Amino acid sequence: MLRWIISAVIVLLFVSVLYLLSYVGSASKLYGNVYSITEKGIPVYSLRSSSDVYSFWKSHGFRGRVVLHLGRYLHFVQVDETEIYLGKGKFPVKTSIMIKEYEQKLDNRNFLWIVMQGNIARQIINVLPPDAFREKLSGIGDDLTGISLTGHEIITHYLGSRRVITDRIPALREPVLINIDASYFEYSDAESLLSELRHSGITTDMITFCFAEDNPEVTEKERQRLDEFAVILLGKKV
Amino acid sequence: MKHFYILLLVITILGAFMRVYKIQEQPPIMDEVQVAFSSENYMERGQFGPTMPNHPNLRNILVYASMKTIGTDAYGLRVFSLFLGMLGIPLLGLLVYRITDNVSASCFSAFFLAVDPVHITFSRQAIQEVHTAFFFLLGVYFVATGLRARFPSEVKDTINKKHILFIMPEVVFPLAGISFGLGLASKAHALFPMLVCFFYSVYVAIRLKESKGTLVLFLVSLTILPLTVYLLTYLPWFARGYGLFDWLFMQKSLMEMTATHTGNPMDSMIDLRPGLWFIKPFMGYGNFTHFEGKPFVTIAMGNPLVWMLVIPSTVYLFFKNVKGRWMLLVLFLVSYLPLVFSSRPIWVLSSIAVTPFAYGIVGVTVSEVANRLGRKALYVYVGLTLSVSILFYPMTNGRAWKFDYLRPFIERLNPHEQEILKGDLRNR
Repeated sequence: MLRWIISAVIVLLFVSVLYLLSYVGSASKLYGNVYSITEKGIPVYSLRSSSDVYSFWKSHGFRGRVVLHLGRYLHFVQVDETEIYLGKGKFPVKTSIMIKEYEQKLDNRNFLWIVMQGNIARQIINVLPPDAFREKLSGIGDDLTGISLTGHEIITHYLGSRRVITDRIPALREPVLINIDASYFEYSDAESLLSELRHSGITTDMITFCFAEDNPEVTEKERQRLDEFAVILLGKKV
Repeated sequence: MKHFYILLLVITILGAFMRVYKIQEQPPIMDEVQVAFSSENYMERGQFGPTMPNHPNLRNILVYASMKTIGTDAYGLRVFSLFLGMLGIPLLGLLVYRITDNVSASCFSAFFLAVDPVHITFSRQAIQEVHTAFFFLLGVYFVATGLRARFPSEVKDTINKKHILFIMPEVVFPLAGISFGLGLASKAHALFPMLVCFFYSVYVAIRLKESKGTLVLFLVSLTILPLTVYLLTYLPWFARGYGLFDWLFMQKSLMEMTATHTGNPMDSMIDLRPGLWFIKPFMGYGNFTHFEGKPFVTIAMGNPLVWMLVIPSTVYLFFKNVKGRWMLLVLFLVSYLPLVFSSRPIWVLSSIAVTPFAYGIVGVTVSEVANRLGRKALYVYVGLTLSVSILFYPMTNGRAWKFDYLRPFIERLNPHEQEILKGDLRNR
């Protein structure tokens, strides 16, 4: 009888741990008020650079979120950590807070990587213009380690955190943080993006428009198209 | 029996001395510096890395606890490696005794581990290799205790109810499950001895027509309980907002990363084939660092007088009817063969996942042979083994470069002399 009881306690413990971890995960996600894309009064913010987007999300206290980033670039270049450890090879080891080190090197190339390091995002979805997506797809090569491909999605991970690279807006049940980068509009037009967004059924706390002034690859024409998109979405300039 | 415990204590003190001696004067290697960062990064923010992000996280939890209580000096970072490295010595002795009832074999096994330069090297570093070995040895010890055989050594290894004594399975099997869980949370190597114990326990329970309650206890203790412990160590990661399906995705992704890992820049890119560990002498794993203008070189290299006996001893035990041989052989082969047949490079540091069982096999063989050859030959062998370990000792604590006779080993592993692998881009 005792053996049955102990077995039952172990199973109960297992279920409790599953529940506890699940609860901790859910409770750690921080959302604001949630809106659908078509809803009036959806908060929209116009920001100059990716660093501004990072600071803006951070100041709002977002945590554990899915980020939907529309743009031509992935912004996921890992920060070179070499300097962080310089002179640290002695006892006592002087540690520093990694995210603070990364934030000092925040720029348009690594902004989404730091968003994930800073725990603002737990998953990042990069929606690329179709031509940019095709370019990424052809660059993958034969080694598919850590990558799975579907027709319109490259699913990969960063240390186990899911990253999706796609050329269309996926259907998502969870509210996401949307960032629309001016680089998205190199060839894409505002009307079709708006239509796709509206049909996706996606919900969000806010939309940020990033004019990518920190990215020399982005042209004024693309920024202008982003402006036009804002006008179509809101019926006025942001 | 009193002599056994005294001898085990003496061997443990010898091993402890070799692990602790001048530990505070040994500067941290880059992995250890990054372990300090990784511990805080994990415990305070749930992030993996910067070092070994693909491995489980118990090391981060332990090192974080010791850093916060002791500080970030040598003891603060290394205390768990030192402690678990030392405790692993008598634990192996007790385990081999539990399996074989052979006092001298048990003492030899403990002695080989105590003076093993690889085990000493990693007991002196704040990484998880010796943690893993300690926890899986503890798990196997509990299972061996739970299924304690009471038949004398001359009886064949057939399982018979009157020969098996179940000792407090309600206590020891859950303890085994917790130990294996901690082992898995240190490194995946703990999986193999756990599987052996799981299948063996279930086999014994079925064969002896034990009650369903016993069988279920074995099943949940050696599957669900380790998984529970393993899962709990991911609590800081869940606090980043993840759910259980995210966890499964992460586990799959990181396992794939581990399975395809081909090294980091500056890793030694020789001695990567575990199939040669016990055939080719002087295989090693080097770490090069600078401190106050001086080089510090640690090289983890097995003692060839023990390592070269592993294969002959394995063959010997296949044919020699000695109590507990099958348990030792299966534990060794099931832990070792997956590494031998792995398609990715495996460094010598991983030998710690295998050598405790190998030393059990060599210990039994040496004890058998010593009965025939006499004590004199035994003393000579033990003396030579200890001498080689003492000669190799400067390699375990970073001072190899001070000794000319060790230069060939340093030069052999010097990364500047080798083709430096660019590393798995997804891991960098």
